[in-house]
Amino acid sequence: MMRTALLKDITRDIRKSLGRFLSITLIIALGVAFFTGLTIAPDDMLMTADKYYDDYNLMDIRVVSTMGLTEDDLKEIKEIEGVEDAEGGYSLDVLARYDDSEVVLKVHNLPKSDGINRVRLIEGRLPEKPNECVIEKGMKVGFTVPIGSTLKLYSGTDEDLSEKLENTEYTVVGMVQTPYYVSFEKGTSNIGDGQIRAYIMVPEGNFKLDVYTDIYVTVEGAKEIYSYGDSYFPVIDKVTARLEDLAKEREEIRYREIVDEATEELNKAKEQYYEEKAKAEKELADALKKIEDGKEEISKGEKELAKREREFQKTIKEGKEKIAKAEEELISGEKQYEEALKAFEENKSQAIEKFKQAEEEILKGENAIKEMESKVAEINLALANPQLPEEQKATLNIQLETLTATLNSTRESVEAGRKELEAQKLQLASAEEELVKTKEYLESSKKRLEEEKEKLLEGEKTGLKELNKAREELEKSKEDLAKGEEEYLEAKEKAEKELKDAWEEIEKAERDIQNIEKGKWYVLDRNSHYSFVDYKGAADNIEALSKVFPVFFVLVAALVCLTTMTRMVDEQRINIGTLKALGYSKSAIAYKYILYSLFASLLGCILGIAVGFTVFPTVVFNAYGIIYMLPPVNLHFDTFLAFATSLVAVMLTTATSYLACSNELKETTAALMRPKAPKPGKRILLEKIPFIWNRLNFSGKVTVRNIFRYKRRFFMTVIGVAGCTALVLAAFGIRDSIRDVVDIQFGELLTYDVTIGLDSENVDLDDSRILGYELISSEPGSLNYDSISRDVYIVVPKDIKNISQYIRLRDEKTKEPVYIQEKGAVISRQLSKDLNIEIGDEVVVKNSDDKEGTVVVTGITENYLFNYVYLSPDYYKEVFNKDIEYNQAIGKIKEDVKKHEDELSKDLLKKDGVISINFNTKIKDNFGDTIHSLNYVVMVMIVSAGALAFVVLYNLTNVNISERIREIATIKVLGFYDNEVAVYIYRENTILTIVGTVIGLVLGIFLHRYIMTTVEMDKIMFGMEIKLKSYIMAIVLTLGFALFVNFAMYYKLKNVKMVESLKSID
Amino acid sequence: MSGYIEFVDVKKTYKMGEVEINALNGVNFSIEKGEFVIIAGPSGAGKSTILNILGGMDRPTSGKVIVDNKDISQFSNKELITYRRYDIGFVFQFYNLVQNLTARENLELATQISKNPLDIDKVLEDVGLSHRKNNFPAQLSGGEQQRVAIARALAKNPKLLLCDEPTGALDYNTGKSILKLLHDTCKQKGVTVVVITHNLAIAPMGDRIIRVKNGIIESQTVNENPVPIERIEW
Repeated sequence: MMRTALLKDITRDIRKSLGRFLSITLIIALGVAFFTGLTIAPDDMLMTADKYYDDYNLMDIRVVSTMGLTEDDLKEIKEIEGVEDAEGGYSLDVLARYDDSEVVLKVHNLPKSDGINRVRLIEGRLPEKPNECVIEKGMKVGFTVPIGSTLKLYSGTDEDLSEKLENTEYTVVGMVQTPYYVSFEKGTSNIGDGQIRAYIMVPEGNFKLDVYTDIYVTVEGAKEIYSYGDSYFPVIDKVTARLEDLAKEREEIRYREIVDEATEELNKAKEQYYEEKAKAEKELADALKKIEDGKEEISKGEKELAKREREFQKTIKEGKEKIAKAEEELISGEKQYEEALKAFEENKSQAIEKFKQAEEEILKGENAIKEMESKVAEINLALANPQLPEEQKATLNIQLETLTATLNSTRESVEAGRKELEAQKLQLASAEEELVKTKEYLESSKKRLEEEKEKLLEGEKTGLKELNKAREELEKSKEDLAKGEEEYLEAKEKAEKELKDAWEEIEKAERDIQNIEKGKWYVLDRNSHYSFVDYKGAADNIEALSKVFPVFFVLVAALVCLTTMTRMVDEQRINIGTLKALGYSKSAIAYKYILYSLFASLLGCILGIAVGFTVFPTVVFNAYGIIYMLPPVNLHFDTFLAFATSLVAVMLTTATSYLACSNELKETTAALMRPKAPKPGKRILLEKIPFIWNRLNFSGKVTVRNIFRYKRRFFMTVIGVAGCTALVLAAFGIRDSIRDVVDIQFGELLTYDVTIGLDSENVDLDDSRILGYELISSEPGSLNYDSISRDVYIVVPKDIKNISQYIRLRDEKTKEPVYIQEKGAVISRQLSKDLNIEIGDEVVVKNSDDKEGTVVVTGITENYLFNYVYLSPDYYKEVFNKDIEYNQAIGKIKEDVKKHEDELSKDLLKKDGVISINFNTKIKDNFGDTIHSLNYVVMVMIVSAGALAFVVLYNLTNVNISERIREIATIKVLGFYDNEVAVYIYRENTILTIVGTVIGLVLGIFLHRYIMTTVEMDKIMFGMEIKLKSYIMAIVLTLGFALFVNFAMYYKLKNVKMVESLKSID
Repeated sequence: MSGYIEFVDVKKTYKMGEVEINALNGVNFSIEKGEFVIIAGPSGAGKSTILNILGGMDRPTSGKVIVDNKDISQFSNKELITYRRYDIGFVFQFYNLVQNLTARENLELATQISKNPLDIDKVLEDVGLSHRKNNFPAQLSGGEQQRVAIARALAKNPKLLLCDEPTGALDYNTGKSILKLLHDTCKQKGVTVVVITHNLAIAPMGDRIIRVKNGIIESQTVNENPVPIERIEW
């Protein structure tokens, strides 16, 4: 009977005062959500990651070696106890060209679909042909390439990439993610701009390497264990230890292998050397012989030439003599001829006379002949006449005879005369002929002589010419020979030098072989895997936060519940009195209120857990999802957490209800049924200070008295508002701090723009785009103090004075510059804070060669990122007994170059000796992304702070109004306008809010400091300064929330019904 | 003839969910300026409702309420507040003093919003509480508190003084002296005073007696010869 009525009472109460019920629910929900959300978020994050690792078979151990790993190594590893599976992998840094950009990519072999480090296909498909690849589906602002595009790959070094990869062009066919790369940070490289932007995977067959670059190992039974839990690493460590033992063996074997291989090659080289040497020597010898032969020939030639010359001269001489003789003869001949001619001429003229005579005679004779002939003819004719008398014929015949005889004799004599004449003429002619002939002969002889002379001269000329030519040729041959000799000598020198060099190299190679260091295996478990650790760090940050916030909410929740329930109990005092009068026991009455608050808090818990287990982890996870590549979050229900939190929350509310109740129930029944005696007014302390008191106007006095009258309300408002302000300030402060790391570290402390990795000191870095640079040596090492050690970078600048232009060392508080002394180390602030090191302390520093040295700390510098130890070159040398090798140049670049950093980077890398480029802008950008993801977290904090403020202030105002409803009604009756009534009530609220805000600002500073110190990692120190803007935001937001509440309550005030409120208890 | 105060067919209905309660069912009466009026009737008759409407704390559902030639039933909220502020002084049965203020300060609270307030100390003297003016209500007896309440109402210098069962929480003698105070104020200061009571015995002291029953005026009588309160015994 009692139960049902009571239940009805409770439900009606809930419905009547829904606001009150809900405010308890809400504040519980808020606190529970926050606590459970922040507690489970890191677990969800890590468990999602762990499941990812398990689903895709992430390696437990990764083995790398400075000398690479062989098939045999892999076999051996597989056989180690505890190893479930082992796979060899290939990885390579390459440059890729796509569009206009050139980026550094890491090329991995595509893992087997049932192997280790499997990939998760996000888009497209896996490669089927050898020249296909898949690329990472990474951050939106990372390097993205659409499916179907072709990537051209280059080695980035002098080597041709095709020596290491079969294909150098790949078509992207899909996008993947892999548990191997959860973090966006993929490490640095010494090609390109030094920053690995993304990874691609290609079919294994493409790799032409003889050895594996990595071997991935999974450990038996490890998958079942939560890798972020405590029991994971002990299991792994056992196998790691065994691997390390194996490592020693295999290192030795590999060393032997390499040395043997190298020695073989060396021997081959030596052989070749000897061959070449012999060949060279032979060739030289041949050449020499040829030269010698040549020399001989030349001397022979010379001799012959001389001989020929002599002969020639002789011949010419003889010829000349002969000609001279002939000339003589000719002259005598001519003389003779002249004489003969003269004689002839004489003869001739005589003869001609004679001839003439003769001819005349002949003529006479001929005429006579003719006459006779004619006569003959006549005779004949007459004879012929047949009529002729015989006598006459006889006469005639005698005549004829005589005539004929005479004729004949005349003819004969003429003939004879003619003959003689002829003969004489002939003789003459022949004598003339002879003379002519002689002349001719002389002429011809002369001519011949001339000819001969000419011929001789010509012959001489020709002969001389030929001799000269021969001489020239000989000279030329001599020259050639001389040249040939020279060349020979040169060639000999060169050959000797080359041989010498070659021998030197062989000797060097021999030495090198001696110096071959044993390769070192590195057996790396997941703690050395960047992604794994990095993600844990992120989760840890959230965990740290989860420890702080709930405290606030618990406090506030307790207060809210207390006041609400007190109010409720107060309002119902008459009910309670009546129930008591009716005979209900105290516990029965209290039961109602406890149940009420139980329902409220249970509902709140359910709501809070629902939101906490879902919204918070999802928001946090997705915020980090910007920079971590994981599958969607796996939400877990942590029963223990839910139960424990709910228990605490419920206990809290019911305890406060009970407290509120029991106070009331202490009173006597009769008293309960009377209206509660209002709290008596009292003089407050301030009234005793007339100086201030009299200055206050009336309303002021009222307000001040009211504030101090209701102490509980005072504290609640102040705490609630302070909490809200503190949260908001801390939230903004967190953002500022993280921004500080980047802004101060890269804006004020490290003022250089670019870090250039060098392999020697003497590199020409002249480029108009670089304004200036300084050389430094930077090596990783560690610092040890009081048996704690931290990773540091040991930085030794060449010029310890001028370096301040690039690295500003300064005291964190005073901002006074800190200088690197000749003898002393400057360490970064975080080291000093962490390890409690002060100026003057001696610390042990280990450099990258594992050499230890003791240095004195002479300065501590402000620093936010990583840890540094700065030494002067002399001090370094003194401490480590080693010469400095400057391996970096840090420099500033021209302002307008900043947009073309990639170009500058490419150009610089082309220079000899430059091995890597890193621009600070890239580091800044990376951090910018981290900050961006934290904005979500900050947003959640602010929203919660707002909700907190709202709930608290709403509640308080509600309570305020409820408690003073008579008062409010009275002054309304008195004729206070609505806004005057509002002011009357709100004035206190406002003052309390302002006080709360101020306190909250102070609290916020501490809260912020606490959070930043908790969240701090050993490599990053966060700035502690909160910017003015954040303070303003905190104030504005808090007052904003308060104003919002006031506004919401205004209507309630307005609607206070005077009549009901002032009802008599009649 | 229209009086200083006129109620013309005033009806008041309260709606509580589905239930309708007719507090006033057509009330008609008038009051002259400077009268000491007693409104009497049994519990639940509607007396307080009339006073509340008259005091501008509530509105009639229908009908007209004219006070000093102004129909206050047509007043907007703000006008009602102004009306209450300057023209009305209210005295409650349970005093309703602000606990956090001294007697004097309670008066100050009222006078700081009045147009033409009386001097606080004088009023306190008039009610005989000068020696207690710096005490908090919790330090005052019931009668003293009521006197402070009256002083508060008077200090406003209102046209109309409305008192809802002013002596309900007081003993016989204290009650009488309070009534005397009210009456004196009425006659000396010329303030129209309306007193609600369910004690019919004091009805004769009023200039006008309005009897209310079941939400309507049962009778309205003008008393030619009011009896001084000292002489009334009950």
